[in-house]
Amino acid sequence: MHSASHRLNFDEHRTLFDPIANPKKGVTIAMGILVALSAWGALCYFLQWRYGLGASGLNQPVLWGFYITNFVFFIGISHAGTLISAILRMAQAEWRRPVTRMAEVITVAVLFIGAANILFDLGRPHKVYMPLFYGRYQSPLLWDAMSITSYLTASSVFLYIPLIPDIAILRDRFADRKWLHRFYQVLSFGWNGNPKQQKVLNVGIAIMSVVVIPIAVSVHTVISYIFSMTVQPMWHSTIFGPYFVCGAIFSGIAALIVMMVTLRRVYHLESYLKPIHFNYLGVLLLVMSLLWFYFTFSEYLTGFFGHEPSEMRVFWSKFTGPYAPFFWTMVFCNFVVPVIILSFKKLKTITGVLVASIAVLIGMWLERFTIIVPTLANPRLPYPSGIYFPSWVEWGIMLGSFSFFVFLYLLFSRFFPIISIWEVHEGKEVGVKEVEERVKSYLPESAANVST
Amino acid sequence: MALWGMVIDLDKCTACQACMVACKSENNVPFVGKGQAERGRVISWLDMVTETEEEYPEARTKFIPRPCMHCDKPPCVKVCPVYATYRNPEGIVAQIWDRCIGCRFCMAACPYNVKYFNWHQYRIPKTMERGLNPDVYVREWGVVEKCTFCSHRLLKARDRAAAERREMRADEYIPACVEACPSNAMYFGDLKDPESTVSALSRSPRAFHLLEDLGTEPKVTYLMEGERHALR
Amino acid sequence: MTSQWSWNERKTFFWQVVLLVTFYTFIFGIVIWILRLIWLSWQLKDVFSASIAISLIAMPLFLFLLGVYNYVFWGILLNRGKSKKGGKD
Repeated sequence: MHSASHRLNFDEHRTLFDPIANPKKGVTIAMGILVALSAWGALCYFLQWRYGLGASGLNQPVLWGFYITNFVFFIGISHAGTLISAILRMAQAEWRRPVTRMAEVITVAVLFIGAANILFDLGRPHKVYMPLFYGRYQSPLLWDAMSITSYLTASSVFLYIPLIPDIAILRDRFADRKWLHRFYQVLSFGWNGNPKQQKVLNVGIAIMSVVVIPIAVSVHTVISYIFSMTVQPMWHSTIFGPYFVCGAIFSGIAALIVMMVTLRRVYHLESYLKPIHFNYLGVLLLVMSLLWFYFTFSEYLTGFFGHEPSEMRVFWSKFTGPYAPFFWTMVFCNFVVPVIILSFKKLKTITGVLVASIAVLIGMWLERFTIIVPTLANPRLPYPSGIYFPSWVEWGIMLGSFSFFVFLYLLFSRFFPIISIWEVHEGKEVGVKEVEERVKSYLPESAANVST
Repeated sequence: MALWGMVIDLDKCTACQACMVACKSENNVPFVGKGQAERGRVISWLDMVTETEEEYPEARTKFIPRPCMHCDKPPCVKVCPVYATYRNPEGIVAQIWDRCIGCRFCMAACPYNVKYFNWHQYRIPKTMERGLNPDVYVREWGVVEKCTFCSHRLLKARDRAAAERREMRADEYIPACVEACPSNAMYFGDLKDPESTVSALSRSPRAFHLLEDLGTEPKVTYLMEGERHALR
Repeated sequence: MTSQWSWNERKTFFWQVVLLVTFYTFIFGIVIWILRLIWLSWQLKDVFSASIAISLIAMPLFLFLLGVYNYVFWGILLNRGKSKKGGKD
């Protein structure tokens, strides 16, 4: 009856409907725990709201800490998403099909958490409407507000457009469930997969994949500008834009891999996410690791060689001073671990790639931390400064942020397929033939003639 | 329009910190208490910076009273997202306390660390409530604050002159720290007026600015310490 | 055509329009916000050029995103063809 569904055998993709049709008890329990942890974070934030930012461990020179670190980190992870899926779509990489949705969901979910962390950092959250009325565009913070809003809008649209055919499939699959059916009916915009609709959809996806890339790049560039637009030692660096974008994509791929491995386990997606997917993503991760190291090396070598006294105070506090453990753990996690694991075929198993990704996530969080805190702790004028210890309130809010992110992710997977059904289906039906044609077109004419 | 500026003669300064005390009581700067102070949350609009210079043959420690520099090109104003801090026409880097959202970007951007944050709602001890200055706003928790060059004194002086139907003289406006300095090491006045003491002193060969190379163009000028410096 | 619509279809369409209107409100809210900030920077003589520079990128971008959403929304909704929505599988 509907062309979207008559071609599609519901039973064939049963594992993809399962999380929605018969949710597993374990997932529900996990979501409950995550809600509890998020509630704990909310309670911590309530305390901070009540008693002021003094509830955190921040102090005079170190006036930004965990919240800003988390902000940069979360927004960084969001680049997984949309950016990777847009690039893979534009490159027509066929292996993208089961990956893109997962990446796009990360982006949207994590952007909310990242933006919330800015609110956690405000001294007077009840005055948060002030930028609406009195905002000024000279401040990099407003640039951030603009770029994050546009990124959130763009990535939501980018998540939604390729979701429409899947919602239609769900609408037909859950015709017997009154409310769920109605919910999908509204969201599917009456999709039935006829060629005209198909064309509109493809044009929409194509436009968005192009538009979302510059937006994503601008977002993390502008976030780096928060730091590099000041004249503080080791912040005031022209390399910060690309350095942050590189780190963002790096941590984004790592987060994507961790999510993929986890959901593959939880929802039994082994037949969709094969070792080859992790292999390819592992290669991307390796490339980004090397690129990250190159940026880090350039950044610190120029600082060291220039030997400006105030820069050197920050430099040594990272290399040998109180922040050295974090700095060297960062180098170990971001460079040593992924390069060793991902360079050897034997180690590049799914478990290996997972270990490398977790290391990268830890390392990239530490990278944000070691960029922000040591500079603040070593200002230009001699200033009595101690090491910054986050308070339990900050730990609580951080725990809550991470839990709420995973919760949002699971919540999405509870209502929408976490792997794009129609795209996988299309890959089977059309993709194989298309790729064959495409490969043939790469080859010299004569060779093609000979073979036929 | 005047351009207000300050000169601090480090040769005359005895680092007695009377200016710090005067500033604190004039501007209702909160007492944070011992616990908060140990966590590095002291608020002191005018701070005494100690800098140990490794000058051979002996190491010397300099004491530098450090109010807000009231830069002509203030890095804090550039980054404020809500117009809570701005440079007013008379060169004072002013604050709108009520608008501040407490993002602390200005604190991160200020190379002189002159900005302070109200980490809690600090209460003035009961016994000292009557000592509060009625001319100065008491800041709420979550607000960033800093030296204003006692701009309430400027308003007061101007109002008085207006009531008496005459022009305000530059010497009617003096910040509390300058007034309190027992060794007359601090000068205050109109930098635009070539006759004024501050503009004469700021042209002295001993004059220098803190972190001059950052191009912030501070309006607080220091006069170098020691005669051998003067001879350089 | 509207008269042929079933009650269920009307309700569905109503909620779809609500979605669209929400998106419109959001985008135009942002545009108004940007305009307000430009006006403010003009009033206060506070780096007017920065406001113009940023809004020159931001405003068309948001409007463009609105356009894409609009295109997909109506493109899919109006191209449903004759097939009437049925509950049966």
